[in-house]
Amino acid sequence: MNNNEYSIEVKALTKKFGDFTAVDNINFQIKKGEIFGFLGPNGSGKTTTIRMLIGLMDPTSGSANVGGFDVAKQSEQVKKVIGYMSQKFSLYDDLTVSENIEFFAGVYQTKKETREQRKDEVIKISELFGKENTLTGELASSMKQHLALGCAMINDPQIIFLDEPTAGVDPVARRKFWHTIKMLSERGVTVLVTTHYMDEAENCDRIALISDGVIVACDTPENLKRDRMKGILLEIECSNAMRALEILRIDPSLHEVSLYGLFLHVVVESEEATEMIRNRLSDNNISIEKIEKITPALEDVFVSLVEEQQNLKLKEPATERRGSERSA
Amino acid sequence: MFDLPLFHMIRKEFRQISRDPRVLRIAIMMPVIQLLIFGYIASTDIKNVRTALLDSDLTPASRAYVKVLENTGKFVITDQIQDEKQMTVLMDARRVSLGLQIPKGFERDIDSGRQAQVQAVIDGSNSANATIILGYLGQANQVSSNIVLSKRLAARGLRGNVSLFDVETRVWYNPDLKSINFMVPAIFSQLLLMISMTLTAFSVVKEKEKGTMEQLIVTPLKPYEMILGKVIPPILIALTDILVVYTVAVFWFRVPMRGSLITLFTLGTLFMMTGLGLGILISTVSRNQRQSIMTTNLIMSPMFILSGFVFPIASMPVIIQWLTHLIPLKYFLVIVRGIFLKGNGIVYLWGEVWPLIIIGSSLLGLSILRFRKKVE
Amino acid sequence: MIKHIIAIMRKEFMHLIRDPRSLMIALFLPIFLLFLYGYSVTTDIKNLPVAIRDGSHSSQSRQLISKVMNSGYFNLVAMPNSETEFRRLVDSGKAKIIINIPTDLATKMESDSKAVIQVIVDGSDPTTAAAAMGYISGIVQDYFSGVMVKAALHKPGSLVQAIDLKTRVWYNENLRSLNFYIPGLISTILMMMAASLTSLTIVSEKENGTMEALVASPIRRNELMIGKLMPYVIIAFWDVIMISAVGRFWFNVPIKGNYFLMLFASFLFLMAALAIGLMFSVIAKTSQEAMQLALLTTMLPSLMLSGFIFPIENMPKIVQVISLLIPARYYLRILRGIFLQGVGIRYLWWDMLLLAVFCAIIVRISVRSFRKRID
Repeated sequence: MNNNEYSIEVKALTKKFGDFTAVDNINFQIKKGEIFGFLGPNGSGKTTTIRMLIGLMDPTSGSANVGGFDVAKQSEQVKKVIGYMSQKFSLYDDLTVSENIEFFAGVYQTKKETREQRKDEVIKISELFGKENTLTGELASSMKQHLALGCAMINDPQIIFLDEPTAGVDPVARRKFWHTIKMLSERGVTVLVTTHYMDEAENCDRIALISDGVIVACDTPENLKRDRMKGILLEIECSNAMRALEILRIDPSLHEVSLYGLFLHVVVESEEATEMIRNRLSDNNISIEKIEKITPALEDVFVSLVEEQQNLKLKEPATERRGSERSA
Repeated sequence: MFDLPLFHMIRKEFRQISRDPRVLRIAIMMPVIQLLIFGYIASTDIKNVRTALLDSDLTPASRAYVKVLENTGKFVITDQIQDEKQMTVLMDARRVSLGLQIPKGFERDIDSGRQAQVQAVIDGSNSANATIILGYLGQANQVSSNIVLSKRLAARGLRGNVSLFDVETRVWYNPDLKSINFMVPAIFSQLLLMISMTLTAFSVVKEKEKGTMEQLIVTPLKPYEMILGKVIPPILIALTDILVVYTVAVFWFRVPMRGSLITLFTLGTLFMMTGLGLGILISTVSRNQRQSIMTTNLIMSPMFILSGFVFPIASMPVIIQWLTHLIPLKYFLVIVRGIFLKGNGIVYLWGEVWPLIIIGSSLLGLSILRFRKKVE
Repeated sequence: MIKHIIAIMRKEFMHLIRDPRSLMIALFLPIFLLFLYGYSVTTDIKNLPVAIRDGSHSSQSRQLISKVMNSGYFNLVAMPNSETEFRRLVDSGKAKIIINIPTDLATKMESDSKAVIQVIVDGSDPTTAAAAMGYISGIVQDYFSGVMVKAALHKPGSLVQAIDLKTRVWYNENLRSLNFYIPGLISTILMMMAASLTSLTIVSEKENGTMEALVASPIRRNELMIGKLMPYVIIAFWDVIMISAVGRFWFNVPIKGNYFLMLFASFLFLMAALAIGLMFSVIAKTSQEAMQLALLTTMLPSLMLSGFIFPIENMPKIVQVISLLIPARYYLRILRGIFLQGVGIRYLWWDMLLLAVFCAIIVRISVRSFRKRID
């Protein structure tokens, strides 16, 4: 056991499946009690990374330390000190809530008294009073998710891994869920969570943005929003967003023109561009409701960074692509 | 004990099994139904062979010859025909299995001391039956022949009994040679094997497909705890099956039970463990359910055909005989007959028991070894 | 309509191709099994373990014993000296037959009085017992007629046989048991394989939740069923062609009848077997259930009730009626008719019709049970 301040340390972790590199040389450290978010589109390597960290999959190269144990060589010890909630909830649909909890409690070799205590705690955390004898398969998604979180905590682990825990769950439940996570973090539990909900990522202490197996950025949400976006973000509301998109995309001085709901988001180098845009659009008979500067949301940062990384990739086709890694 | 992870694994499996009553019902009802139906197929006895008779002689001698044949109780003259063409038609249509031709001049030959001729045509498609029929035919012919010889010898003043010899046969354990007493234990064994294999063949694969396997692997559960946890609960079903099938065999079919019930249950459970172990092994090496079922097919089929139930092992090529040593069913067939009909105990049967122990533990051991606590 | 069917077919094919192990088994298992069985299967009874007690120790008894051993059916495993050993020999399974030659054999024979030879058989295996009894009777009678005549006439080579029986065997001149069993093996192998192949197809969609998408689409029930059946029909057909080739060219089982007739009959049979698997897939709630149904209802019943080993005519009436439900029964008769007897459609049309009807009924049941609704 180490007394380091870091719960999780990852060094040059790589995973290849044949020719395909799913995770490419990533590095990061996570402090005790941190809520660390892994943000990225599907297929970016989030789940593969988690699987390596919990000892489920062997890395091709590199190493990682979780709770002081090496994930490749001491995977069984790692499993004793962590909790895991997988994407698919993976609880037994044909067992009741109570039976599921009892099973997972029993499997961690806890003593009977402790088991009962933990069981009550889990029911409390998951807010499943009165539902102990319902078949898990019959629960609503949000309740299943809470139960899965509870079961992941059954052995009172110091580190938990949550893989897309809020997928398919309503916003109210999501909020509740994050409330619980914050509570755990205050207790000193380190939380590594993957998500592709940008708004949720704001709840994390730090975020790593991952794309194509590479960590594109790693910092607090505020820092990311402030520092990583080059230029100024304009939001445009107009009468024909699609047409406006086409028109503005052609202009090389305008970076990253994208649709954001019904609005257009454009990144410009200076505010003077506003005039230019106004003119360009009215020349094409598009009336403008408003153009204003806004603070970028995480999503914008993300899109920007990912595009930048794609461009980098295109410029270096044959050489080993070193991800633009930044450590906190 | 209740603190052991193994206990919890077993309890979870039990609970899951009880939530799927249809599977339980099949596991228990199916053997009963099948045993009831198949037990009645006690027909390896050849009797009432349908025979077409073409008697061109129509003399007392020829009629006497036919009488001898009919007296064996194995042949029934169903058609009397006038020419060979009719014989062909009847054989082709499978109306008769045997055609008997007594030529004109039969009695004349016998009376004049010459060798008389008789011709028979037999349907060889079922060679086993054909061989047996030929045997009975030959014997009947021999009896007739000896009667004639005896008369001739007597005519010369030499004493000759019709039969100077007698073969007195005693059949042990199954005096009426009732095939039921053989069939029922054999079917009993096959059913137990099938049920046990199918109970576990999906056990591990199901979790892989559902995704719960991932969650399981991330816990401290060890491979042996997982495998044993999945093998032990079905044993209860297995015991129920043994009890149920035993009841049908003894109280319905009246198969004599001369051995001890305890021995039957012990060895029956041992046998089913090999089936359960086989199923689990298949489950661990299959990535999805389709592979599981196809692999089960691959293994079950030869096990049945080569187990010695239908086709005698002693007649198989030597290499294949060696292979049959790996088939648990082979040993259990002997064990089951031994217990029911001969009253054998474990000591007598030890030669069949220790291979089962080895096979069972190897299968379980292999499954545990193969079980990786890793994904992909 | 065709477009829908083809769409489902393609999807099903894709599933299969992504699962090379299952595909390999489906394509090659039947051939492998046929090879294996072809070399193992025979009902010729030989190597019977026999124990002989020679109480007489005379030249007669020795002649008798050598006649028994020369027949080629028996393996001498023991020569016990006393009758007390008999129990142990048979109980332990060491000997299946015991021949007990009495002490007074020679004296009785020389004085022209009746000599009795005792034969004890292990009845727990009636087939072997019956065969053994038959063989021994034959051998002993043979021996005694020879002795009797020689003694009476003092002339070697005298007329032993007053009546000579000549037999001809039709359809299977060499009494090759293989020729009889290969068609039966083929039908059993194919039956199990086919039912297993289709038994999971619908139920796994139910379990994975992908059934919802299918149900919401405009595809109709019978299109779904047919689309799901077709890829397997193709695979099974390949199996038939391969198996019949192996049977014909490797094991030299003659196909005296029309080869194409056989292919057509095989097609009907396969459809029936696949349809049965499909039906299980529809009515089962879980794949475990489907698997159990498929394996348990095809393995033993096709083995026992199809006429493969046990002749249907000798079964009790009730069982005969039940055997009408087994498609393998009809297929087997057709196969044997074509392989061994060389008969044509005149004799086989009835069985083929029944197969076709059977198939149609099962498909209909599957279609009806399949609700395009989520419960």
